[in-house]
Amino acid sequence: MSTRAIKYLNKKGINFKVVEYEHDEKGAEFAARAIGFPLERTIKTLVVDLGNKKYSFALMPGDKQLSLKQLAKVCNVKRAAMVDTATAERLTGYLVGGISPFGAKQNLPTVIEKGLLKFDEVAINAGQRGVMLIMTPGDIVKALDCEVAGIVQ
Amino acid sequence: MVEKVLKKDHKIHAEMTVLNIVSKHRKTEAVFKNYDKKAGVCICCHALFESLSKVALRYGLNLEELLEDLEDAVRE
Repeated sequence: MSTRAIKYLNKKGINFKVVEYEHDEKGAEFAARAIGFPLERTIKTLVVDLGNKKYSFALMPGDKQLSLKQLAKVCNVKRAAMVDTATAERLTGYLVGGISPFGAKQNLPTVIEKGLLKFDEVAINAGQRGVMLIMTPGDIVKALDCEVAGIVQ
Repeated sequence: MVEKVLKKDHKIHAEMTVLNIVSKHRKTEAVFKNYDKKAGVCICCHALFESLSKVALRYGLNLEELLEDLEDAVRE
C-alpha cells in the first residue's frame, strides 16, 4: 500500500504503521470503529478557509468540534470558515473521507489540537479511503511543522 | 420523503452534507447545535460528511423540521 501521504512520510523518515479497513462510510467515527481505535485519538483532517485565498488544515480529535473562532485567532485572521467538499478535494487532491495533511496537492499550514499531544499514538488518514496511519502526534508535528493550539469548542 | 422536502426556493436540501451546509451558511451551525441533544451526539463532530437525510435517519430526527430550521437560519 502506498499513497502520496505515505511517500511524503517515508521521504521525511517518519515512522508509522499502516492500517487498512473496509471503507463504507466517511468520517473519523466509522474509521475509528473499523480499526478498533478510540475516537478521541482518531484525527479528522479539516480544511479551513482563512480568507484572502488562504487555507489551512485543522487536525482535530474525532469526537470534538472545531472552534472556528479559536482557529481564526491562532491564524491571526478575522474569520475562519469550513470549506465545502469540492474545495477540500481541489486543494488537497484527496477525496473527502480520505483527506490527509501529508502529501496534499497544496502545501497548507497546519494547526493541530493541543489535546492530541497527550496520546502516545493517534490514527490519521493516509490519503486514501480505508487506509489509516498510526503514529505519534509528535511525529505529525515534526512532519508538518504544525502549530499546536487549543482549537476545539 | 426526499422529493417531498426538495423545495425549489430552498437553499438547503436533504442530500446536502452537514459540511457543505455549514461551510456555505455559517449560521446553520447553531441549528445543528440545537439538535445535538435530540440526536444524542454532536452532529458537527460525528456526522460532518453525512447528508441531512442520513443524519435524520441515523439519529431519529424529523427531517422536515430540521430542514425548516436550517432554512430559517439561512434566511435570517
